[in-house]
Amino acid sequence: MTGSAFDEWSLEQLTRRVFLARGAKAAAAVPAAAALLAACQKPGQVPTTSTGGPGQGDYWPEGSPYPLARQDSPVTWDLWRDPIDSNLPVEKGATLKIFNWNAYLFKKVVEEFCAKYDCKYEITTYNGEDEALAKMRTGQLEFDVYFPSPDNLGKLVTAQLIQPLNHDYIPHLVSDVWPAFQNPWYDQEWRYTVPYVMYTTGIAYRRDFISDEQIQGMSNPYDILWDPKYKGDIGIYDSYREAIALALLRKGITDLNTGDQGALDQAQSDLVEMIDAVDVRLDTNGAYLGIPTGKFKLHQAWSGDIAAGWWYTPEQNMEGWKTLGYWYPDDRVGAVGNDNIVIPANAEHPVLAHKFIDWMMTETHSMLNFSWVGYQPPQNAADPKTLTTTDSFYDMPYVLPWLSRAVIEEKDFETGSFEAELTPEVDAIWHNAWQGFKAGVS
Amino acid sequence: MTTAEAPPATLRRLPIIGWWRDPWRKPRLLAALAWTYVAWTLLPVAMAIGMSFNSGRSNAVWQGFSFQWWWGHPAFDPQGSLFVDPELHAAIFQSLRLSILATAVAVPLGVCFAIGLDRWHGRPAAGANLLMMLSFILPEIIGGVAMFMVFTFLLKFIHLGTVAQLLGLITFEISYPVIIVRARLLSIDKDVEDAAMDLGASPTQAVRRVLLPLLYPAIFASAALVFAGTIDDFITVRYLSGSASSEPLAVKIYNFSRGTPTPAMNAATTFMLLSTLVVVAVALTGYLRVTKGQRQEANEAIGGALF
Amino acid sequence: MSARAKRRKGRTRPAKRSDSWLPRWYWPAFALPGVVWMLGLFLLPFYVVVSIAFGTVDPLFRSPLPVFQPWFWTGRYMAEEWDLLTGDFRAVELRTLIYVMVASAICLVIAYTVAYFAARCTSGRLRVAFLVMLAAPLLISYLMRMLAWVELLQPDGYVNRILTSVHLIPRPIHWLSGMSITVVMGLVYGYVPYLTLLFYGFLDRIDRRVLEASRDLGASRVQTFVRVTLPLSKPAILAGIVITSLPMFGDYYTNNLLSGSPRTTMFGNLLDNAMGSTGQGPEAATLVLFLLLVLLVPMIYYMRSSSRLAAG
Repeated sequence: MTGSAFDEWSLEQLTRRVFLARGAKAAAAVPAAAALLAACQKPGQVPTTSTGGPGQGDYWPEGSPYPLARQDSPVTWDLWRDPIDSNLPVEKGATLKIFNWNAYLFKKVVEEFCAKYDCKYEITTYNGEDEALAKMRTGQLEFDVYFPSPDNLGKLVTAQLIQPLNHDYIPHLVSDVWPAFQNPWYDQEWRYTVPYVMYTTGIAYRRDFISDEQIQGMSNPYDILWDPKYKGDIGIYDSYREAIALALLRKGITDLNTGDQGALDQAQSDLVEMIDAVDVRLDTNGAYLGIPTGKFKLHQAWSGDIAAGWWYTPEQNMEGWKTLGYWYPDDRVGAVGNDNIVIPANAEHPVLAHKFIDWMMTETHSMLNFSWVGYQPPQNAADPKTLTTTDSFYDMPYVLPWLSRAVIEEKDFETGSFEAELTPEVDAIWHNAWQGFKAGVS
Repeated sequence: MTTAEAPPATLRRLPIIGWWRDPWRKPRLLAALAWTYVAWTLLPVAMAIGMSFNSGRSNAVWQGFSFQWWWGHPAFDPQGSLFVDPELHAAIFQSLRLSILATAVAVPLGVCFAIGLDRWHGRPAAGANLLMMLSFILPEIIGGVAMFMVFTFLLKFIHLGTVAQLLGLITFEISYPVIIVRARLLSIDKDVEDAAMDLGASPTQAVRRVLLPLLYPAIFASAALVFAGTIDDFITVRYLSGSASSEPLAVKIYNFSRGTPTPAMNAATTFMLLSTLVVVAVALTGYLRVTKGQRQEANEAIGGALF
Repeated sequence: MSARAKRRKGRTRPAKRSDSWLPRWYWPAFALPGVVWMLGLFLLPFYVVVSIAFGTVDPLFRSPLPVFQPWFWTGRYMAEEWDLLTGDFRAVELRTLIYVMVASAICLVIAYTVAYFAARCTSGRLRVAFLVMLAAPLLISYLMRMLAWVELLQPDGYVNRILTSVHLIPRPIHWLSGMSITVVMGLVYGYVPYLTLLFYGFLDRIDRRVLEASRDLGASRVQTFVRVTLPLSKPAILAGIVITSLPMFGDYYTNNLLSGSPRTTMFGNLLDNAMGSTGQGPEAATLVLFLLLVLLVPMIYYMRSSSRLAAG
């Protein structure tokens, strides 16, 4: 899509659209329109704390409805409404409605929570961020907690789809979690989010076919995913951000939020090259299921996926587990990220939701979750130097020793590149590149 | 003709020519092909059903017999078997709920529609017929996308969830009863209804007590077909589902296959098949019961006429 | 005769006593609930689709904003998508066409053979048993049948095991890695059961005496088949082509389940992807309308020929 969508956004059309967006739970149109009015009036300037913009941040490209958070230009979101009051009683007999990725939360942790707070739970899953946003945006489903990544935070806040948190209910974030997350760059003063788990994106491989030395000795290990020698055994994630980021990193581009059309075109043709060169397959379970079961020899992988891969090896013993391998750059310059937990604005049980978030921030439950899910939480108790030697709930190390590159330290966030939020226009360019790749067009 | 086809004398003596030209030979080649087809169609399903009793974790490689994926606590995932997992529980009930309600609405609606279409003549009737046929041949993804858009942009008071799924399912299943009942109506003579009305019945009574019983085979057949169609529908239902509680078994199986497939998935599909068979059997029994009176009366009438 | 009199003549029906005293709205009233339903829940959604295709996009989420008044419609997004449809997506369209044609042809051949066997070479108990086995796949969910094949076609699945043990292939083949042949076979497997019963119904109704007469007059088995049976089953074949190929054009799940690669993307996948991505609402709507337009001609042809059959 070319040009700014604001070209045709006259005031008259704005009011007409506001009129058209009828319905009790008005979709994003109305707050979006209001935010747009504000954004139209002050592009590129630091807004005042009026009810206009959704937040403040130094990096606010012209035409963007929200400031873009970057590690070197943090964003503070405005409170579009007050958080719930403190000291409210927990809702009784409720059903906690969780909206999360597939297989991303240990049910035992949720069951223990529900046993304590006398509630039931229901987990609705999605297989991709786009799918999740589409459901959230309708405003019809009243989830209590949602697990987005920071690259959609601006949209969620601007559209008033999530509510600010009351810190009184969540003391464990201050006591148990890395202090840096009390003021993350994407949400200063943690007004709307708490951190869930962290991850790096590297390459998972079968150590019985590809030795550690082989992949570490390569000048550009990302190239191995394009190597025709492994034709038919290679997979990548069915996610537009991750797949395109992979192609960008391979070419040495570390800005994973770039809007450069040339770079994205090149990434698109690189990905299309993969189709015929290596018969690449797309999925979301290839790293934690496909690699252990031998469906793939190489797969793009989130660190948590491969750390949890031991679950799925046919031989449940050291021999079987030794086949799992993970590579991430030595200089730790690669894709890094973390997910968050937020409370949707129309949550039916906000007090229970706050209590659940506090539960997940608590050390014991967070580490229990870690032992099943494989993804490392930013817990003070999880000393990165000991994760390969400390036993988890399953009497296994949290991270197998030969997967040590999957362990994340705080400085990884300084060296690594974070997939952050894009403006709607740049997002459109990324989506177009992805659509082209999926249709096989280079 | 025959002389032109006759092969030379030497060849005629070859047994194979004789075999080929034998008009009463058994069609072995055709039979082989047909039975191979049946095996090709049904064997994979039989194997999938068998895999649901696998004692291991894989659903591609047999590792021994066990009921663990049906109602047990498999080591791999203690809560993951079909009748233990609360999510699959909810999904089973949702599947049955959707199918039964959809059948209960679509069949009467379709039967009335068929009767009306059959007797109504003129352009509006042709238009209604066109709409109905369109819904039959249209690829379901088109319909699913359209329904999703109507419920999220226009009829927003209908939230995504069970009601939306029902409305979507019924819309696409109406055509089955209509087509089947209309086919049956073609072979029913209107004279019987006329006779009933001559004897004093009102037109509604004639329809209810004469026409409908004649249509029972078609009605029961379409009920069975609609049930079978709705219980494994996942296209429309997936687009129209809200939260997890409104996802029926078919959608869960589709998600399973893209997430972590276990033999519990095979157990779930086998369960869906079993429910369909049960419903078909019930429909058949019901039909035989309901028409028993008719057949009995017919026999008695014949008996009375004979003696 | 004047035109008006001709029309009136064509429209008269033999006067039946039962009809003459029924109010005119009596029979249409039966159809009324069905008609209302179809108008509200079938036709209306298509109007919404059109409104979205000609509508615009919310700048925040890039979610579709339908524009219901036709005078405000904008063709901007539709034009962009049309460019894609006539440009980049041509490969996908061509591939879909080829897959559907090949799969339909295979379906026809298989279904006809099997139906012929059932109608002409079986009788009594064997026929009933055979028919039950032909009808069974209709009761088994499409998902189950397809997933059964996914399990068999895994690199360590039974198909590869059998083929390697009889040395037909040197090494296991990755059937599920974007092979066209797998997708076409999947399409055939999914749709052929509907055809077998359709053909059986037709073939069964062919009068045996006609075939006997043909044989009596000296035609061989093959000649009888080609010159008598085939022409008689033409309407069934045409109906079969339409019933199989039309739904195949919108099929996306066969490709999803049996192939993970963009190499075998079909048109239905384009639509499903657009539905799942933010910012592609108008694109999805345009794709729906495009598919509808392409399929409209065969659909109308089928409906007219089937209504002619029903009337005749």
